[in-house]
Amino acid sequence: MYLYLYDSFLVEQKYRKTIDQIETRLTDLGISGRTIRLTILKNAREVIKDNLREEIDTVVVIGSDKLFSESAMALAGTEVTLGFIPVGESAMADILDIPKSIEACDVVSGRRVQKIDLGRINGQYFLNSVQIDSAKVSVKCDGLYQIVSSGGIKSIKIVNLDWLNFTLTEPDITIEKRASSAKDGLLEVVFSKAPRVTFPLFKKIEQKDSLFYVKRIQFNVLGDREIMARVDNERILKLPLIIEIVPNCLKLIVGRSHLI
Amino acid sequence: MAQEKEHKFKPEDTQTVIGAGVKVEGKFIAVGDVVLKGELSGTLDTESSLFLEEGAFINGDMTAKNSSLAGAIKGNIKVQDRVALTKTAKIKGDLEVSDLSIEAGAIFNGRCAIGRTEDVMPKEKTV
Repeated sequence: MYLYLYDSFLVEQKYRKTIDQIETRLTDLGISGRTIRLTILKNAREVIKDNLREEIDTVVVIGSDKLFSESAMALAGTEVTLGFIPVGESAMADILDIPKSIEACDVVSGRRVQKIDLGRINGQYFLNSVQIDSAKVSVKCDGLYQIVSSGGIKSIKIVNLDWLNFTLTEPDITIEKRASSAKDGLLEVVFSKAPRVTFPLFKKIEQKDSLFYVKRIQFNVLGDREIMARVDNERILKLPLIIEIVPNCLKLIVGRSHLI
Repeated sequence: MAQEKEHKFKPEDTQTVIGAGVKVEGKFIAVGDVVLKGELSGTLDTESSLFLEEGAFINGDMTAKNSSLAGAIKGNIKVQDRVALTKTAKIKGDLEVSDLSIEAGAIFNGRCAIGRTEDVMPKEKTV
């Protein structure tokens, strides 16, 4: 049985037509199910956990990347499959190759299921990434080596499922990694320098310096200042941090040309 | 339900880049290729290729399948297949490799064993 979670912003009148079209298409495909319309007072994780006691085998999020991430946390370690019908801006839609709005119904119906990894930060799951906007940290990887900033590093991003856009061109090798792999049992760690400003358009261009693959990474503060990490562009956590990969943790419906 | 076949993890999917902005200290073990533009102090092991770029430095021993060396190494090198030393390479340590090419200008100070041991050792005759 399908459970459809509607994002809270979809109550706005301008989405009425889109929602009608999605509901009609789901009925045509024979995959309609129970629907729950979230409000800012209803926590997605609690709603999912309450409903998992019943015969739900698929939860489909209709709405934003934020609700999609929250739902992934709630379904971590279960056998319930997560689907996504993106409405509005969505970085996940492109990585997972899921078209927006009504066309995503066909991807849900197709049930191309992949089992992906999740990240865990200080004991809590995360789906996408953790960003630390400081290099004044000690970084220990897999209990084997440490990474020290030798100058110019401004931020560190630990990625499970997100865009990387890491390119490197050297005389003897070219590397182009568009998105992370969420099925390799590893986290990608990107060290970046301060953005370069182009002239005459004054456009900021990210300068990615290093790319590592780890199973477990530990961050401690160097100095007295508090340093914060942003988790999935939503939660804020204070260092120290222990971040690790949890392999094969979530069943996800993806499009044919997904990048994971 | 179309449960997609799990694709096998390939080493070439994980290309590590140690940039000029960082230094690695300790025992670094990689599955895929490694591009080193910064500094590594300790040991480096990869089942794939190491690309040591000009200006990069390894202070310690390394093992790899193949290596293109344009930077500096102070330590012993053990490479399964091929090593290419470019004109900017500076090596101080012993080298064990199957196939070696050295460009004019490269500096190499150490002992060198080239070729597979089984290719040069005569087979023992039994009487």
